[in-house]
Amino acid sequence: MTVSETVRRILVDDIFVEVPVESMNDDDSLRDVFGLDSLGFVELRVQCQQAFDVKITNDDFTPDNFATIRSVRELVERLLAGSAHPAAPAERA
Amino acid sequence: MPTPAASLVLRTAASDELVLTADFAATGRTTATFHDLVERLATEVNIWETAPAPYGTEQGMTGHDQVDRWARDLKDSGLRVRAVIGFCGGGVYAAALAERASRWQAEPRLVLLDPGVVKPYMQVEHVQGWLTRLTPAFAEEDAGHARRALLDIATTSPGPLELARRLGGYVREVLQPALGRTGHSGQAASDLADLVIGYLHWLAGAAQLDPRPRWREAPALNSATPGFGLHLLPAADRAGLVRAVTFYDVPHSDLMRHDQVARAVDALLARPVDAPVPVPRRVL
Repeated sequence: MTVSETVRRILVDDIFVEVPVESMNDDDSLRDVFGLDSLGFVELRVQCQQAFDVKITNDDFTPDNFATIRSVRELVERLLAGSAHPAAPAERA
Repeated sequence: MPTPAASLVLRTAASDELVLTADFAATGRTTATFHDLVERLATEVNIWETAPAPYGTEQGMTGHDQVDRWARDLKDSGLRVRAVIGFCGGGVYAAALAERASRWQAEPRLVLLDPGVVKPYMQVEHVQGWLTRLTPAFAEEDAGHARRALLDIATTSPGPLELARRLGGYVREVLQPALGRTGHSGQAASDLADLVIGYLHWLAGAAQLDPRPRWREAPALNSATPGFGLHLLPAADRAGLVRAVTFYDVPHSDLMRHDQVARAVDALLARPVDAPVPVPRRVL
């Protein structure tokens, strides 16, 4: 199972998001489309840590990293690759 | 630009100026956050947001202790603080931070979004909200015990810091196990308890501060939701609380994702601090 697929399973099986897995898009907002609230995000963080055997620090637990399935996947992949630095905020040109 | 120790970086810019935003924004909060507002702002400036004290360190922190953490970041940044923006109870801390910055630079502009003077009853209401949500996890008799225990804490705590301490114990002993009974993992229940306790102490610190002297000179952008911002007060008591107010027919939860609010904030940030505040109007 890919990282994205695992995140989808977590959303449905552990956080009880009432959207079918096959209807979830990578760029749908976890908050605005899937309806997660602060408790749901806390649970998502915990389940991702357990599923992927990674540590998601408070510095990584940000709206940017937990915006969409894609951003969560990218965070997990960075952590699995051994990078400790979350994505920096976009610098304005 | 140095990395702040007690603030989150929302935007970096090729600028020697900084805007600090004040809020307690837990990841996943359904009410729009400064993260949402900053996405809509055009102003080319560094923007930070106050971060809560690390969970577990907030016990006993006074309002001034809370402000000290963020003020150190401002001073150490070497940047000119152009403005401080506060949302809801964060407006209390924003006023204090503007005053702190004025000790070493020209006072920054203060902007208020749904400003609310924090009172201890808000700490109790927050815990009450969680208890209500978790009521299905209690047997009827136990739910009654839980309600009475909360009422006892609410009516016998002598001040906001003691109230936060006792409510924190209640969260650990009553609400955290209830979260587990609703199917959440033990770690998630513990993490959420950390977050709620941190918020209770943040409120407690704000309840100790009086923002009104600086609020009187600041503009406010206010939602339409009863019970938030200036709606907390009867109309007759609002005059003089802030310098000017613009009301938006937008729910409190959507105020910081509203494009017109973002444009208004950009306009305020572009004005010299001592320029007159725009005439208040109702925006439909």
